[in-house]
Amino acid sequence: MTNDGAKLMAIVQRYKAAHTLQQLFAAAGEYEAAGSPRPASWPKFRLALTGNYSTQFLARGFPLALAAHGFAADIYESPYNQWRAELLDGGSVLYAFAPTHVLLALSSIELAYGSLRSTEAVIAAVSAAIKAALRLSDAQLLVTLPEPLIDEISDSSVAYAWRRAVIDGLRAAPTAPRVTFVDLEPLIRTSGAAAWFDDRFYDTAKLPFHPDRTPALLAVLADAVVGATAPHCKLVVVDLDDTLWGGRIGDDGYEALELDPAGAGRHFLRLQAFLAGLRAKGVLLAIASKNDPATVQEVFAKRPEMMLRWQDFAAVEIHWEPKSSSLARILERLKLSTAGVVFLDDNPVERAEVLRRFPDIATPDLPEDPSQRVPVLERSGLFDHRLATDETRGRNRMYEENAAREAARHDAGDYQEFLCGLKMVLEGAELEEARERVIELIHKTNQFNLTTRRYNWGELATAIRGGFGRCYRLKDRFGDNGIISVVAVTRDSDEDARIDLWLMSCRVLGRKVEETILADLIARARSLGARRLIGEYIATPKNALVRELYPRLGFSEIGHSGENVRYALALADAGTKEGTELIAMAERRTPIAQVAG
Amino acid sequence: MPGSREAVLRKLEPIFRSVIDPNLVLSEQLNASQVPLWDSLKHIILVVEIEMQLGIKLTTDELAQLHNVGEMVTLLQQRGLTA
Repeated sequence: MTNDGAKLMAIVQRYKAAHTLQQLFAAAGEYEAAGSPRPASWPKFRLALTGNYSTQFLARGFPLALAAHGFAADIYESPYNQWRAELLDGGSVLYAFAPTHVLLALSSIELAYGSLRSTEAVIAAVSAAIKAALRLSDAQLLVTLPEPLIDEISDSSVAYAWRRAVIDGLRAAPTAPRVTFVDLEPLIRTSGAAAWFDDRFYDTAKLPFHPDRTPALLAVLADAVVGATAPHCKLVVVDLDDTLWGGRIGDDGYEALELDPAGAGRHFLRLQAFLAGLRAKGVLLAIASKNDPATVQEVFAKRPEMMLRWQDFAAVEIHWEPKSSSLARILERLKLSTAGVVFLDDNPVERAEVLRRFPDIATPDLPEDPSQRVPVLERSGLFDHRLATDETRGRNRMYEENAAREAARHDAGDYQEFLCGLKMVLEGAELEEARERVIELIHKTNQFNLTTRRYNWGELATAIRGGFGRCYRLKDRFGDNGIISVVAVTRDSDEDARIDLWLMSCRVLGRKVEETILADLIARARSLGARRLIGEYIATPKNALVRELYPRLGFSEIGHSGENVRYALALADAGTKEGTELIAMAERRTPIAQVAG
Repeated sequence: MPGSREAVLRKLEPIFRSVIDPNLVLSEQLNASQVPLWDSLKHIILVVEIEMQLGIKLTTDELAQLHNVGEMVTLLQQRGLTA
């Protein structure tokens, strides 16, 4: 094993041993410091994580959790509680990420006490999100079922009745093979309610469990992500003597072979049971053995302890030629490439000989001790469920595309309807009306922040001299979202008004708020006599979200230096943006009370 | 007693170093906005580790407030943690 391989193994071991958040982060930090190693042979995942609680800890741990399974994963994490907008809107950042897997992590707390509440509303919202995700992406979709709440004392509790009804409703809705429901109840039961629940962390950090339960939850979710996909391993080619049974049939005769389930034969039977399990999942089995074919058949016929039968093997090569020749013939007969082929042999010389001709074939080092073999194979990741092959994905896609085309119009309608149903009102105001909140947003907003200028009040006042500053409050039918956006517009010349600062809370992404704000800015810039509105994008490590904002809003690029891009919008021909009709614009003149966000 | 505040500070320092930055020098004036690595995620870990290592349990209100070291020292002192 190379040094890098050994280092990766050590980090994975530390990840597996982590039982506190601190230990998980230490392992994740080491993995990142090592350059997030991901051997080229690993299948690649693009996992989108969206949900209704703080998922940052999970997002941080997922690359390592999936590396422990032998997957190279890129992660996208939706902003907090954006799952409905992200999944319903075909133009969302989540879909632009082109995920292979979408994990919808929902907690009962927000579902039961947030805006949805009733079982009917929760079932309808989650089902609509699942339906949309199936149409708008070909990703595997994993959805956590509502977890038990601390209020759930027994199955006569109100909380239990609510949860049961939601789960039954979700399970009853028609879904597709690509949807997997993940039940966290066994995990919570194993952890113990006292260790799992801690309202303090929900109240302060929107974390519906104690932070130290993160490693256990992450492991369950990573297993679900990996298990949701089709088997990657297609064929196992297995040796016989001292692999499938103990002893050598040519030397010992069939009667003397170790196959006694109560004795040393047990560990050979364990391997047979393991292979039988793979076969039941659709993996092909084949034999490559240096023996006399007639004596081998005797074992299958005359040793009743054998768990695998002769007819379980799709191809058999028993002769004295090199095993690499046997492999070549087996692949030829079964019309397979070397991808997803595993060769099991207790003899390292045979493994090396096969590996020299077929470097792509997996040849795990079987330990000499037969009792250690199945655990090693289980841990190898070679037999974990894997991404569906391109062919099966292609086929699934064909079936689904027609339905998707039909549904596309309906789908856009669903989302418009969702937004329309929010009855949003955007209130614009002068910056002075919410001075503290404005400064707070300027200093803490990272993602939707075009220029990330961290002004203090004095600098802000200077920036808008000759121009104007605006802050916006968004209300909808569920309540007041508080001040969610701040804009500062500077007058660079008679001709140009420049958006010096524009930031927005990610909580309201995907609601056409930015389109509505732009309409307000256009109107105000016009009334100042400006001819063009100038926009800047200054890239930071955290604001890739808005890299394409200005082009999307109809601005044209007029120049760039390094990471800074400048855009312009001619005010004469700036029309109304689609979506602005969904939000009513209002002007606030009396002071706005502070609302924490 | 200024002496006991110092003692609490010395107890907190190794926890801060293990969670946030191994080279951090802890002072009462320090707050989250001055330490780039002290982000909201690290803050949660910090709270969990302080609770575990010092054997105390903070209230929700206390959790929401603890964003500078001086406040933490005051709080831990109130909880009878001195040496």
